[in-house]
Amino acid sequence: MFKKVKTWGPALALISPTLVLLAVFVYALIAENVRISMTNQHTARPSSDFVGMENYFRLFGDADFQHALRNLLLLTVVFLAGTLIFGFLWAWILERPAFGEGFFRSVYLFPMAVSFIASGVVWRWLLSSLQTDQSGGERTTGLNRLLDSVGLGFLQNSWWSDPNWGIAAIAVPAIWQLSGYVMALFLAGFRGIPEELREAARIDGCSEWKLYRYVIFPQLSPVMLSAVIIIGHMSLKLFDLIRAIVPDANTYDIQVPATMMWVKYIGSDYADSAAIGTIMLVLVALVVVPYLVYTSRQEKR
Amino acid sequence: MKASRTKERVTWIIISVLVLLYALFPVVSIMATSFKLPSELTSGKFLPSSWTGSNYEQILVGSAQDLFLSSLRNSIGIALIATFIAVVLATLCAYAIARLDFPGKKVILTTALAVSIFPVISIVTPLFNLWRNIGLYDTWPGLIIPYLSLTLPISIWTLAAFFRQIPWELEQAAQVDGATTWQAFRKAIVPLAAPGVFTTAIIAFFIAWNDFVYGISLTSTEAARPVPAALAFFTGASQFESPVGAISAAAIIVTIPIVLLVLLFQRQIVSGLTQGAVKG
Repeated sequence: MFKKVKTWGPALALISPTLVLLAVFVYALIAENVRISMTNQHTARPSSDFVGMENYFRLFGDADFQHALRNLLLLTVVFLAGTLIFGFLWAWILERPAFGEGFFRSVYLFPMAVSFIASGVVWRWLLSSLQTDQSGGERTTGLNRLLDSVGLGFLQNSWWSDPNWGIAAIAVPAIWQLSGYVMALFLAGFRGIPEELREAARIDGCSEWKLYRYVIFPQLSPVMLSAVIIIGHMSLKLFDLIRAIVPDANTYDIQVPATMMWVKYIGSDYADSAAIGTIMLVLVALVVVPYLVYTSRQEKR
Repeated sequence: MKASRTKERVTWIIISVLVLLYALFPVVSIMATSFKLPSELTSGKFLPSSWTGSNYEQILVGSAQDLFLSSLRNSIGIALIATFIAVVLATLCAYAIARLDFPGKKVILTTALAVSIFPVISIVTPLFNLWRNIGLYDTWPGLIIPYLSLTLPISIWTLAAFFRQIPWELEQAAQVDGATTWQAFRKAIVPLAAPGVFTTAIIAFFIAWNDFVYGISLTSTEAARPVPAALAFFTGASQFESPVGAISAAAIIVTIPIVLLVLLFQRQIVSGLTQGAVKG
């Protein structure tokens, strides 16, 4: 008994404040959230009749919610593709010994430091669609105007005001903000590849392409997986950026579960907002938990 | 040889300019907007034709002063307190993880870290109910506690990674050389651990400072509303004026300290943020 206390005691004393805090304010609240989602508390008036999975069934049958889920998928795909491509490109450029590496690294990372709320202010303007002013003439602002002035007028579009593809426009600022982070991940990955490995491949007569295909990419795949997980779960949770660009959360074009949850929450429909919250939690868990299991298994080996 | 080098230079300069435009354009344009007169906001021109400080005046000493300055005070206070508590708790935890061996360590670490992936928004509803019942709604502690759950996991993660690299034998070596336990800890370990703790503090501060979801859903008045949430409540000087100029000015003011921190300590922050991910 005494021996047990000796091994457990000090560690428990050190970690228990954190554990208690997280258990009460995260895990217990999640349980409470699930409970609310199974009640009929659809108004501010307290009411807690148990209705089982009814709210979930209704949500999944709701065309608006299906649209929000589809939007979320599109957003995540574009966001992932964009950050991975740009992040890899930046890292690839910086990885070669060239002047100004520190400078470029700061510049790339700079967007990450700006909060979504602050940058959203300007993106709202940049991504504004074609507008018709009072005299009936078309007035362009933001990126559309910029594209027009550099002769790329054909690229003008309505950005986020499009029910099918609008959400992809929201990914543009998100990509801008986070490619620097993905770059930092890739850069660390590049640094982890021993120079001898490349030399050996070159001596064996590997072409540059084959060197990347068979030596560099396989070595980078764990980093890439981390990047996919990190960016993927950020995308599933994305709310503040959308809210900053389109202040009215109840806008069909850019509706994702997070904004829809907000609309329900503001409208005091706590049961539905809790249900959407739970669905988002499950979505994120589906992405992250297999990854955590996979990495912990790898470590054991 | 010489020609190709010049060519390389030119390519590099072109790339640098493009990169700078890409990275800085949005922020520069917020800055430009923050110096515009309200009448110019819809002109569609990028730079203001006459620079004005009226937006800054409005939020610092003018009509929006109450809204902005109180939220700035809230943001600074709440983020600093949350950061301090998070770093203290995370240091204890990370020390236990890095130094002590106890059964179930892995499970505890994973469940604690798993918190960081949960969507904040999925606990907003019960938190709102709870806070209203116990009177923490729209107060500083009402935000500090959820910020702890946001910042603790990543703080533990980064600190544990830092602590694992510290050569703890130094402590014993110092004791062999005649130092007391406390001296050994203070003179040998603290200087090595300090950079890690400092980096963690920056990352934690950064998360608390930029939070929006809790800020907007758990506050209702100037008593606790932090800046990112307050920006949503800005209105123009009159009902017909767009508040975009004032919002931009406020956005610039709250962004500058963060940008400076990141630029000054980018090397440490990058290593802190990538360590866990790359190792995995």
